[in-house]
Amino acid sequence: MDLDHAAVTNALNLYVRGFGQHKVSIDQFHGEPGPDQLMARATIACDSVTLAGDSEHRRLAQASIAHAVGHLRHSTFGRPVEKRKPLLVAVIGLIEDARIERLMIDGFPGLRKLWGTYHAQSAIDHADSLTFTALSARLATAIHDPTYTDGNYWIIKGRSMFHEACRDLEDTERFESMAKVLANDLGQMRVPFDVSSYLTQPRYRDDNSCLWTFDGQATASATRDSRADASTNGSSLTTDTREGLHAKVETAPAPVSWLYPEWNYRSGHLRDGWTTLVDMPAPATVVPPGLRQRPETARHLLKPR
Amino acid sequence: MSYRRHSIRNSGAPVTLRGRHVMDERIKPYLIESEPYYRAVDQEIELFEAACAQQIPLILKGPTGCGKTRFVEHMAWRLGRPLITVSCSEDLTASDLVGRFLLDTNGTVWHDGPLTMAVRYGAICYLDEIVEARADTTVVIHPLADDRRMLPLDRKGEQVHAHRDFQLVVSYNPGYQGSAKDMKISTKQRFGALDFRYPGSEAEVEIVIRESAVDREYAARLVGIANQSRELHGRGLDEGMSTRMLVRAAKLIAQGIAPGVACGVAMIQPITDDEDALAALGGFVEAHFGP
Repeated sequence: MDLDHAAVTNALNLYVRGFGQHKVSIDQFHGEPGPDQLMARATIACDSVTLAGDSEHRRLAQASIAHAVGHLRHSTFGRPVEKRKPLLVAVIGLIEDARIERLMIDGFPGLRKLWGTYHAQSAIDHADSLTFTALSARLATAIHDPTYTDGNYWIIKGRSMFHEACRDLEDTERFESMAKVLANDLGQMRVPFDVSSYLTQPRYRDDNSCLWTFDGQATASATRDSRADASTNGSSLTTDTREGLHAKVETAPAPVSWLYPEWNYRSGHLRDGWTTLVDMPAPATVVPPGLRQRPETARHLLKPR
Repeated sequence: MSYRRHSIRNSGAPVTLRGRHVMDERIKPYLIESEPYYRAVDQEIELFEAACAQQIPLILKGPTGCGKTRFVEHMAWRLGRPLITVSCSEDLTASDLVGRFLLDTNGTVWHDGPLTMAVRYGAICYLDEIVEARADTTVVIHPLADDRRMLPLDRKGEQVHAHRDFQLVVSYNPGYQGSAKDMKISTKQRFGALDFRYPGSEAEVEIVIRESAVDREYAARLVGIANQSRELHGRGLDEGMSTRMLVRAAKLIAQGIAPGVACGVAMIQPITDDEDALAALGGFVEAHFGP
């Protein structure tokens, strides 16, 4: 049953309210996802869920919202990514999706069948591939559907580990440890991972961006560190020059991070604190001693041949 | 106006109620024969008994289908008192309550109304949805609801002093009727009040199991759907699904109807005609029973 946008939005706002989420609004993305897969999956914020453009079918939209409610109830939002690599971030998201869905099914047992429809299709779509997307889609199905069979060792291992971890669904550290093992296995298997084209599977799941954030202070530190590295690696600099540069770095004001909201014109969403601006002095220009002493030589080097 | 007699005791002998007194034959048909199931959720039984002992009239407030009427029936059985129930409407007149002269073969004869009968012979008089009646009609209960405990029958020129077992109980749903339909403050202040809510999930599951004989898993899912619907109170629905609706859905399931269909018939379609609310409620059913 396809519904027009207004009816979908109103009915789905009632639907999410039924899960006790009175302050969460549902929006629908209008348009085609961009080449960077932006808005190809739902996005979640603390007070809103923006459904992907293909969620106009009522059941798909409700499946997405029920999954989002799982995150809103059971996930920690905005954890710093820190040094986690994209592959690990994706696997942690996959395991977190499965964990919160298991918790939701405890309270809403019909969701197993609702979500299962999309898992079944996802497993068929990715049956013959060994890409990260295919393996993660089939692991998601293997965890969701106890009757699903898959001969891939990594999927068998992942399902077994998840089953073991399910003894305590609130022990998130254990699930993250499990994700690290699985991500490491993928690295050993040389499974390529392209973060720009990756989409969570099945399609009712969100993009998991709600789980992570880049810490502003960490960004500033990284900038400062890279500048210090540039100064210390300048082996051709004289001792005086290096000392002078260090003195400038030490006396310069510390970088300050500013967080700004960002308007996503495609999703029509204003995200608070989404953009980090680091305010710091411009790096000092260091002229190699040879150039200062023999500028004509330098000019010679710059002449076109 | 209608009023109900409950299941009848056929014994012709005077009834001795727990050794207290002999009951008049005319009120005996209003005794409740078998125990109506009621699952207490708080202190309501204890409070009702205390109010009866002290002859304090009671208001039962709460949403539709939460068990107010069943509670009164249970208490009438528990206390061994007859129960006369009057379903109030805007057509209810004071004469409908207290009685009137009617013509018969012997001329004009006075006939007690349900209220007068309860007052005269000692019964619980339950005025269901009292705010549906016009305010001037309900003023007739004022002298019964204070220390006087008497009912003036102006047309008959009689003042009936209430039997010691007379108990006045009224009910209404504060969330359903608008402020235009409210009890007069002078009426309210003559009563004590018990506030009814839908029972907690565990208690409601027990009620559904007991009333319908479905298994616990089905009962828990039905209660889950009802709890979700109650989140829409005031935002799509005037009222959430009542316990009565759950019991009816459960009975259909016990009869072999598919759960999704049973929920549609007994819980979704009766409660709203709004397409958006229907879609959301359908989603709740699928969240518990699957698509």
